[in-house]
Amino acid sequence: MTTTFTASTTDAAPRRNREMADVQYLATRAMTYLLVLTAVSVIGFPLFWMLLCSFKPGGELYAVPPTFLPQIWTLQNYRDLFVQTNFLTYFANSLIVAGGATFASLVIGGLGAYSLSRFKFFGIGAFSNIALVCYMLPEVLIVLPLYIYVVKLGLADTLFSLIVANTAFTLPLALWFMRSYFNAIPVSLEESAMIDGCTRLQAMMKITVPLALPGIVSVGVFSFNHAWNEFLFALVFTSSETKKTLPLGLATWIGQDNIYSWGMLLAGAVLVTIPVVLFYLLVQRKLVVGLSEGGTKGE
Amino acid sequence: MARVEIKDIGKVFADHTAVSNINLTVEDGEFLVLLGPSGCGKSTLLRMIAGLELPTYGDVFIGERKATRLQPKERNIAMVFQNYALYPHLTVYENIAFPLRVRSVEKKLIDEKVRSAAELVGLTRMLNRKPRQMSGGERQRTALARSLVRDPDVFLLDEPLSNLDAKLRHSAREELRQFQDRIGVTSIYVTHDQVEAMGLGDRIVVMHAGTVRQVGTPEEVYLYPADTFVATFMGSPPMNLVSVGNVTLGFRPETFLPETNFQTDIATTRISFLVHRVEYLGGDQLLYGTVGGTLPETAAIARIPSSVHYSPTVGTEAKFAVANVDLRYFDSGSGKALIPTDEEGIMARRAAHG
Repeated sequence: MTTTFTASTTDAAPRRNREMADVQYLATRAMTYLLVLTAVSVIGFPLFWMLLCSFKPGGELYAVPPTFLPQIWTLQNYRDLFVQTNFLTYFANSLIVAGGATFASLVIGGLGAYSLSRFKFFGIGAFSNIALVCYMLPEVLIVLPLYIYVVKLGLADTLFSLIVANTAFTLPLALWFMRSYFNAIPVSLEESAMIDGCTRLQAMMKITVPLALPGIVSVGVFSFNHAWNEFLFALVFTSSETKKTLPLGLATWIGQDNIYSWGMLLAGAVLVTIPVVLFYLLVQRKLVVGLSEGGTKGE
Repeated sequence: MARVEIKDIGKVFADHTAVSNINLTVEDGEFLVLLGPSGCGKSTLLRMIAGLELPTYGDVFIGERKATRLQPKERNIAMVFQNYALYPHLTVYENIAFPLRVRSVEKKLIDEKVRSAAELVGLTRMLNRKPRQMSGGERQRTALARSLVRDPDVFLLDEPLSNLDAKLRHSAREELRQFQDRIGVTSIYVTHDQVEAMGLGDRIVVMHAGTVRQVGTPEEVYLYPADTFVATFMGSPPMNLVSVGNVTLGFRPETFLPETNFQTDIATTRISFLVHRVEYLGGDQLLYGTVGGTLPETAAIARIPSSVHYSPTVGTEAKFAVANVDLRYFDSGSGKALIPTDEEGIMARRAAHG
């Protein structure tokens, strides 16, 4: 009797533990998905609503009670956008400004961050600290002094002034973020590359940059996003219709004609969002690695 | 292949002097070891030879060329770093091929050279792996293959074994030396491990505080240390030093044995030894204690091989002795070795140890 009893308990005990573990695992899984679902609905619904409404004809937008799916699907809003407004000009301007600012931030920020991380010379520490302090100043505070510079330099109402201003604004973050990435990459890798036959610049391009790629991508996404959404600089620095960027252009429609501009605005908003979403999807994998690893990269 | 000549070189950093007035010649095909405690300037010296550090004064010659101000890539040297410095984003194949790719060598030739280098170090099956998928020993061999793939004139190694565990380190040391014998390339090896230095080097350069204390074969450095620093740095446990007036007496623990162990026809110096503690190590036992009697009381260690039957009693004074040929004399003030009086005995030892 005793033997069978002990045998059965030893046999059952691990199984029960496994079952417990299974339940716990499932519960954890369920909770995680529930949480994700909630977050996605809260964040995603406005986007989804925007997309749906951009296909509704003008009258339906004001219907009470509101319709969920459009009763009549129409592309009228999009047609209006292209025919009646300078949407394409705005879009091109925004692409130029955001692309230019991103490129400049990456090149200047990358080289600057590399210097901050690898070289020691007089004033370099102070410089990096002051750069960070600059980042703490709000846009509102610097926009007027900057405007005076822009006018004096004869850059008023140019896209170039926007590229410069946006780059200046994102540069401190770019410097600090990339510096921490470069710091985490052992100097010996570059030294080894230099002994293997590279110049310093070659060593940086072939070894350091590929290893810091997640960080560089993160900075790129950040500066693109910032410049793409930027409103205040665009409002102050540009005045002519042909130099407006998307956020500025879309904003000027609000209040112009309440009857039909909502549909156009929504269609515009959808088109504004698409490049950003595409850009994110493109770099998503590198970005996740970049943001989660922060500065602790390197073997 | 080339000889390396270092002429009166020095490096002064903002807050300290790392290397001062070093003269050194490394012969063609020689395996030279730079040995010293951390912070003695040995790595800085190596980095100046590599071109990663510009000397404050003095010159480096590689082959017949003055290389002091040449870029690292112009020196045709190879270097293995302490952390191996493998490029983590490249496969083993690409790591080994890197120096050739930078020089835009023809593709077919690259493939040929990479494969033969990989075969030399036994990595043929791992060419598609990334460095992080490999063990410490395999990484080290990859670094070796990469540094040798382009036939360098000089081969620099900066503590390449210190990241390996003790067992692996032993076999890697063996492999490394066999490897160097086969390739025959001039090598300069930096380490703080005296066992490594003794085992690997044709000659050892003992450094301390930025200066060279002694240059010599492992036997010379071990048996005839130039000063008290070398005497205590080399050997584990270190040489016992007893200062008597303005002369310091030195003797190795393994030459410090019970008096009964010496034959009567050998000239010995008797030293009484008070044992405090005994450490049994299998192959031999270490006796920690103090010498006394006619000598000033000083801590000392005796190393008695297990072949000698001796059971020490802790807390009692025993009669020990050192053969006169094994005694070394140093100046107490400067620490420099004094010319021994028994010149013939020394010459005999020197001849015996080659």
